[in-house]
Amino acid sequence: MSDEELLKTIQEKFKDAVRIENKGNLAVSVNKNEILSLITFLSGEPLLFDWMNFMTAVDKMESGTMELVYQFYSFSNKTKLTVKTEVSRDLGVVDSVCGIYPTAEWHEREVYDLFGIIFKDHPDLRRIMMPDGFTGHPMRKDYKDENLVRLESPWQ
Amino acid sequence: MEERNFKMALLERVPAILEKVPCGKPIDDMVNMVYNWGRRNSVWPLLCGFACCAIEMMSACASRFDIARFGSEAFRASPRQADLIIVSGTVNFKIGECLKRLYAQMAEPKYVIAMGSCAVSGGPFYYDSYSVVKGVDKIIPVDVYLAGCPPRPDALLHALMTLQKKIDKERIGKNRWNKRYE
Repeated sequence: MSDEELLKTIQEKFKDAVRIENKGNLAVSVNKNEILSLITFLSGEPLLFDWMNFMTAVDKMESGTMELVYQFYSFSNKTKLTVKTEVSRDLGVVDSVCGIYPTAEWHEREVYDLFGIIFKDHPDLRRIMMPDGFTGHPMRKDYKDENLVRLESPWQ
Repeated sequence: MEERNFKMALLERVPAILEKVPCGKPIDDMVNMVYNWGRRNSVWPLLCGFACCAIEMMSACASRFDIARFGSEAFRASPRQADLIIVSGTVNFKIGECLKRLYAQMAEPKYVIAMGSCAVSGGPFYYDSYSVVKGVDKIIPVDVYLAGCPPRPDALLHALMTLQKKIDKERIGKNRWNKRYE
């Protein structure tokens, strides 16, 4: 199905879904309260997005939010879709999608480890990459450490 | 550590005896030359590659750039049986703990070659990285530094030759691992 049909199918059920610019690919932005119901709908019968490619986060300091990015692909319909939400920067809490896509367990652990976003109803939310006993969330833009040497400009 | 009672090996007492004998110095030089010749021509590295420089290390061990003609015929998987550790690749904090343990488990005499930019100084990950150790000499003492990203296999052979020249200059009984006898 084409991009417009896909967008219309989503916007029939979720009135707040907004199409955003993503280099020509289809990207849909929703409120964070609706993310679990949207993803349940996406994995269901008409659309059949059965593969979650990845899930990451982007730290936006100016607007004080972090943006979660999910990417889906459907093998039967051969379409792809990106879903984005905004979460607050200080102690943001989002629903976990582990019940629908089991691969999200490790993706959400990585986002928790590096950004500090907490996922409700996650079976095992703990650090996955950094060493045990590490404090802090390294991929935040205001992370400071004695080992972290920033390069202000490569052309000094 | 200081309470242990060290007994000097027999060969390591030889220089102290030879100093007093009249024709001692040329004999001392000859003994050192033979001893070091045996050691420098059979440096056996540890079979442990860390990252991309390990590919160049493997290619130095293959047939085109043969490292076996320099004596490194056998790469030993156990640190207890290895003489040399070639730190070939980026070292994080997590793997740095393991590296320290591997170095501590090696028996003296032991040597370290820091291969590639990441092992020498953190390399391209010096800036904007929260997990890379900026130079492996913050963890273990290094004998030979080899620059490159990655260095060619012939550059690794040159580093091995530099290490062999360094071994030639050592004296029995006056090494850095005999310092506890002073």
